[in-house]
Amino acid sequence: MKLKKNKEDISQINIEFQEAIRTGAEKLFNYMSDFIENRLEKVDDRFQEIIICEKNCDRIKEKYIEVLFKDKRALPFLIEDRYKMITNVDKILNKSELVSRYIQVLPSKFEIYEDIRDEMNQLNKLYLETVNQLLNCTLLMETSFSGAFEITFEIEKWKRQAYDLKFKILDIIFQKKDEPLRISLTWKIVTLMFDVISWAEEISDFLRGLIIKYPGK
Amino acid sequence: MDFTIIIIIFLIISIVIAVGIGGNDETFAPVYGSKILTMKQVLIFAVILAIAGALLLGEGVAKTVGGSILASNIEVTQVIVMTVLISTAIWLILASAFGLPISTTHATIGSIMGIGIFLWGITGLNWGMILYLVMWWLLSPVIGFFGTYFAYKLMYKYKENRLNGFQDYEGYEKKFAIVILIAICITAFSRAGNDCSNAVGIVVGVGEIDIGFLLIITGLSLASGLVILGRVVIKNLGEMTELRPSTAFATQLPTAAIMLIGTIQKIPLSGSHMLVASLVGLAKASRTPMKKGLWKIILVWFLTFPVSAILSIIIYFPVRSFF
Repeated sequence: MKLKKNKEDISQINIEFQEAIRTGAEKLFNYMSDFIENRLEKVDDRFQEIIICEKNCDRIKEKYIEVLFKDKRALPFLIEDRYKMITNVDKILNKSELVSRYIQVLPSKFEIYEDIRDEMNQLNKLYLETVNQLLNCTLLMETSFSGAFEITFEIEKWKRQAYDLKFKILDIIFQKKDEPLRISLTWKIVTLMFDVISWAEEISDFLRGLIIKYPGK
Repeated sequence: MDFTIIIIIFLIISIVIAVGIGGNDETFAPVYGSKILTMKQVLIFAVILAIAGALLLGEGVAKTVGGSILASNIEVTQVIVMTVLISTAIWLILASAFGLPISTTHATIGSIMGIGIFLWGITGLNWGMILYLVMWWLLSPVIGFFGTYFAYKLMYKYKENRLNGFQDYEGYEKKFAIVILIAICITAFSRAGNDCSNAVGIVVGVGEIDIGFLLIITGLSLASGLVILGRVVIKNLGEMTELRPSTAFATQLPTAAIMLIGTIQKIPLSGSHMLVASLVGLAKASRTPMKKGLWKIILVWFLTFPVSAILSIIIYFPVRSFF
C-alpha cells in the first residue's frame, strides 16, 4: 500500500515537474520573441517570471528526489536513471534562465539586427519545440520506450536545423563591419540559445542510450 | 599428546576454518546490492540458514569427505586430521591474502588426496568416489554457465516482447526481487550444509566426536563468520555489482539447483565455482566484456589440488612429531 502510494507520488510529481519546465520554456520563448521584435518594455516582467519558474522547478525537483530516494526497497538502477534524467532536464531551465539573464544585462539601447530577425525567431521556435518534445520524451520513458525512441530522432533533426540556423546568423553578422560590440553580443545570444537546444539533444541521446540499455518493445 | 587437547585443537582449527568460510560467503550480496533486504535482515536470514543448513544437510557431505575419499581399509588417524585441517587453513589464508577466490572444498579434498597418496600410494584413495566427485566438479560449472546463459536469453526475449517503459520494468524486477530471495535462501541453506564438510568433514572421519555436536559448532561458526566478517564481503560485492533482480536470478537459479541436489546427494561442491561460471555465462549472454583476472582465477582453481596436496605432505612431518 505504502509502495503503491510512493509510486503514485513519483508519477504525480514528475508530471508537475514536466509542466513547470514547459511553462518556464514558454516564458523564455515569449521573452525572446519580445526581445527579438524589440518590444523592450515587456521584457522586464517576463524576466522575473522566468526566474520564478526556475525556482519553482528546483523546488519540485527536490521534492521528486526526496520521494525517489525515500523508497528503500526501490531498485537502485531505476532510481539512478530517473535521478539522472530529472537532473539533466532541470538544467534546461537553468540554461534558459542564463539566456534571459544575459539579455537583461545588455546595454539598454541594444537591438537585434533587422536582417536576422526571421532567423532568430526560427531559432526561438526550434528551442520551444525541442524542449516540448524532450519533455514528452521523458514522460514516455515511463510507459513507452518505443514512443520515446522515435522522439529522440525528431530532437536530433531539430538540433541540426538549429545548428544550420546558428551559422547562417553568424555568417550574416560577421560580414558587418561596424559596431564590433553589437556583433559580439549578438553572437553570444545566438550561442547561448543554441546551447539550450544542444543540451536538449544531449539529453535525448542519453535517453536513447537508456532505451537501448533496457530491452523492450 | 593428551586426547582432550587433541580434540580441542581439532575443534579450534575447524571453528577457524568455518568462521573463514562464513566470512567469505557472498551468497546474499545480490539481495543486499539490489536493496531487497537491509544488512540487518540479510544477517538474520544468513545466520538462520547457516545453522539450519549445517544441522539438517551437513551430515551426508561431511561423511563423504571424512570417510569416502581415502580407501575404505585406511583408518583416519588424528595425525591425518590435524595435517589436513592445518594445510587447508594455510592455503585458505594464503589465497585470501592475495584476494583469490579459491574453493575450500577443493583445498580440503586436495589435502586428503595428497596425504593419502603420500602415505599409501595410489591404492590409498577411493578412486571411484574421486572420479564421481570430479565429474560433479566439472559438470557443475558447465551447468552454471549454460543455465545462466539460457535463463538470461529467455528473460531478454521476454523483456523485448513484453516490457515497455520504466514502470513495466519496475513491476517486472520487483516480482523477481521476491523470487531471487527464495533462490538465494535455497542456495544459502544448501551451501551451509555443503560447506560444513570443509571444516569438519575430516574430523568426522576419526569418529571420536559426536557428529551432531560438530555440526552445531560448525553452524554457529559459519554464522559467526557471516556476522563478524561476512557483512564486509556482502556489502562490498553488493555495492560493486549492478545486478538487477532478474539477472541475479539468472545467475542464482543453476547455483541453487545444483547446490541443493549435490548436497542431498552428499557431494561436496564449490559454490564459488558455480557462481563464477554463472557470471561468465551471464557476461557471454549479455555480451558484456569480462573483467581481467578470470584466467588467474581458473589457474588458481586448478592449482588448489596440487598445492594443498603438497602442503599437506610438508605439514605431515612436523604434525607427526607432536603425536
